[in-house]
Amino acid sequence: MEWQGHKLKAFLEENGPTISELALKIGISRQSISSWIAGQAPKGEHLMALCESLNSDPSFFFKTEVPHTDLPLHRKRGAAKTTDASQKAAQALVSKYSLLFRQYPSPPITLRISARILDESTAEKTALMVREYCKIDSAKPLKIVEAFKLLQRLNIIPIVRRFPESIKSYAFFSKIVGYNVVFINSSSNVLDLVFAILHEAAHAILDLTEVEQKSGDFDFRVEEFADAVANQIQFHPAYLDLVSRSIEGCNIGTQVIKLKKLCAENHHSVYGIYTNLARMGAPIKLSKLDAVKSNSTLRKKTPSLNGVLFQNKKPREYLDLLQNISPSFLKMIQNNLESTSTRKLGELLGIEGEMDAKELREELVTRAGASA
Amino acid sequence: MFNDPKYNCFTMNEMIKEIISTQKFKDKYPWRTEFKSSLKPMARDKLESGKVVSYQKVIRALIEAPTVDTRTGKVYNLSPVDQKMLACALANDLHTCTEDGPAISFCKQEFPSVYKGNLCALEIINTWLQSGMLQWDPTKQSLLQEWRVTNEPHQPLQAIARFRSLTNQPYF
Repeated sequence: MEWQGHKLKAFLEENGPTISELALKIGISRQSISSWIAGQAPKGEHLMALCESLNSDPSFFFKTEVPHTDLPLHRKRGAAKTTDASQKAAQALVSKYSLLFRQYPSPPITLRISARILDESTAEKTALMVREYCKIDSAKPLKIVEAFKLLQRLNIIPIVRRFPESIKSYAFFSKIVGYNVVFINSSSNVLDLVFAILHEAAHAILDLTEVEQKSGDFDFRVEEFADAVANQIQFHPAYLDLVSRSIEGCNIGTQVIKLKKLCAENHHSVYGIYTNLARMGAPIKLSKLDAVKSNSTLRKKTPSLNGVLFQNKKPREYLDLLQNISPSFLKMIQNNLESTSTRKLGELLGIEGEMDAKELREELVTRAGASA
Repeated sequence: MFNDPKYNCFTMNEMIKEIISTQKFKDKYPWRTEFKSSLKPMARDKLESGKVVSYQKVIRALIEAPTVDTRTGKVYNLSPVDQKMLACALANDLHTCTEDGPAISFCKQEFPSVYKGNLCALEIINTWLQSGMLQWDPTKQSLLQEWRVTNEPHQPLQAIARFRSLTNQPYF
């Protein structure tokens, strides 16, 4: 919202009273009202008196901005669908952060990759560019911390928090006053998050203005393409080759054991590696159902991101982890701590029910003092 | 806040829920369950009056504008519950009783003539002592000592001095 002094001027010209009459009624000077018309927002008690006097809603005199939000079509949990309710909930969630980001009017430059055709070959090239840009030399899949480092190198800001129930997604991308932001559902299992993070990173960096927009299925093709890019970033051909050779000649039971071990070590799902191996014609004996079941048992042994962040429920440890995965966001919070209420701090960090926001504030104050 | 209106304290549903439900309060103040039935929110006519709603709208517009804290140069960022609490206090001509610095500072800056100010916990106890509503005794004194154990915020020196003169008791 932004104060619109010209709206006050227009209102008074159309409906009265005169500036002098209004000043007398509210008990302030004509100059004060002139300054409001010139663009200076009135103090709270004067705004209250102004609205009472003119019988108007305060929002009439402000310009409202609606933050742009993208919700993925199928980066959801299970068979969940994107609904109007989930879209509204996502926008409401994003709105909580717009004030914080608006205080930093110079968003950093992000890598932009233009794609004209949304096919596997373009996905491969895009993934290669991302890996080179982010200096990912290893052929091994990215682990969760490395996925967050990738976001940092791309100047994409992750916000890690529990999502409302109506947003059945692992993550979603949003632009907030020019910043590329990825909201990450900390209730999600770590195994599910790396791919989701890479998918949203793809959304953030892709320039699709030159792609032909066939009616009806453009959004779906974009989602498929983001999936393909994420897949290519996460599963380097050398790694797939290594896995393929390691399971060659093994019986189904041994293949399951080996795959689960690799998945646990490298933070990816059995299903993810299965689909890649099946696509390349690797000697995989598991069925799709076997892969899904193996996923399920492996997930039970892997924590959610919440489980990692709030393992000991100590503010210091939580902040150390947050510093590691989202340093830019933490810096914004820290810089505005003095004028952010404790409840709002808890809201921004999404720690309600997990940690005392007041203790967290004290820890942040201590850190600020130590670094001063 | 309390069933007995003589205490002249008010709160909202959201605050009562925080007291009852949050883990922090469960851990820190295990005795709070004894007093659950003594707590009640502000009457609906006071909580949802036209004036409260108007104040809420004004506060919300100011926060979203945004409004700069002239002391720090940073923008005020208050949660919807904070905003509602301030709106209720301003509309009903009440003091606030909060430790939240930004919320108090916002009110002082934006509503300097209307805002009655903030009272700390000890000041409320002093008010009840002065009016004769509370009689000080060793049990209450030992409860006050608990504040040091539970790491409660420092109370203003003026409030401490007044407490000492009202009770002839030390304050830790």
